[in-house]
Amino acid sequence: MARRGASNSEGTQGMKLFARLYAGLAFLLMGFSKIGTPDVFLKSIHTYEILPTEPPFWLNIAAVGLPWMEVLAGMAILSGILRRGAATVAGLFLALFTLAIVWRSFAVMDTEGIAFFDVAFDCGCGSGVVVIWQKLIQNILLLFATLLCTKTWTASTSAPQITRP
Amino acid sequence: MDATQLAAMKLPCTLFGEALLFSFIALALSLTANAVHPTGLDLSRDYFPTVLENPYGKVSLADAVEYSQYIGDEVGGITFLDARKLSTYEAGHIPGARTCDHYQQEKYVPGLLPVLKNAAMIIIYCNGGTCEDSLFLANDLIYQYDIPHESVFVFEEGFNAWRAAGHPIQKGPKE
Repeated sequence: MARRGASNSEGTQGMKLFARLYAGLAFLLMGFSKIGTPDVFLKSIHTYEILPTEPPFWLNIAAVGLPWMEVLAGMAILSGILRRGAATVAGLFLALFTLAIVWRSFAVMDTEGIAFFDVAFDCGCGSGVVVIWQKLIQNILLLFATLLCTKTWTASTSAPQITRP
Repeated sequence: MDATQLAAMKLPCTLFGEALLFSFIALALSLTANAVHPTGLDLSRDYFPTVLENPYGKVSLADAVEYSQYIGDEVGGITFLDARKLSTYEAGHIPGARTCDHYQQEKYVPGLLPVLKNAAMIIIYCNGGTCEDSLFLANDLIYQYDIPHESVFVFEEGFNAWRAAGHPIQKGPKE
């Protein structure tokens, strides 16, 4: 029993470590790919039409702030400093943009008359034109990893438990 | 109330506090970075002005080809403005066109104003297709810089159509 418990705990530990590395590195990469070109990212988020253009402040601050938020979230998740808060904020924005991508995919399907699996566009994610169903799978995996990073990793769940016979 | 219940109540508060602190740090850092970044955004500027009507004229690819042969800074001359990013402009543009990135227009337009005010035709282009930067720049020239709308034209087919048609392309730094 003790051996199985230790094995499960090691498996959980491994999954958490993987989630932390995956989410941290993904946010770092996504953020760094946008930081240098705020105008390009501004155009990308404008096409989603989820933020008001009047007053323009909200759209502009999102274009300026989100890439830095992603970079900081990546650093926080990897380092462990403010990990849960960073993962929560990054996860919320990721969920919001994933929904926006789905919404825009439907609009593209409607205007271009193509099937969902053929939809491809520049989602403003920092990777240029992407096949959307693949991007959605990536986002869902990242969202799951980010969700794991919002959990409290106490000593009782992070360390192998020793059970006396 | 035992320790477990207290801990359960404290958890969302700590998470919310962490999220708030993280958001504050990210916002402060991004605003500072934007202020010192050479291509930082003006947070109060409307980069996507609503074009209520079409106050500017339009030129076709054939017209643009013809007019490009008469580009000049003299009074009554023809000026081509490239509304795309500087790096894109440097990678290839219509020969004689001047760079005027719509998103950095406050850097370019003041220096170009003497030429623009005297030009008989200002032909603005970007990539064409879904690109609207040439329309936004035309709108801003008319409504923010008081350029007479009769002299502002947009080449909507844009640089991609120009290149696809095999017309000459100039590469290099800004003029």
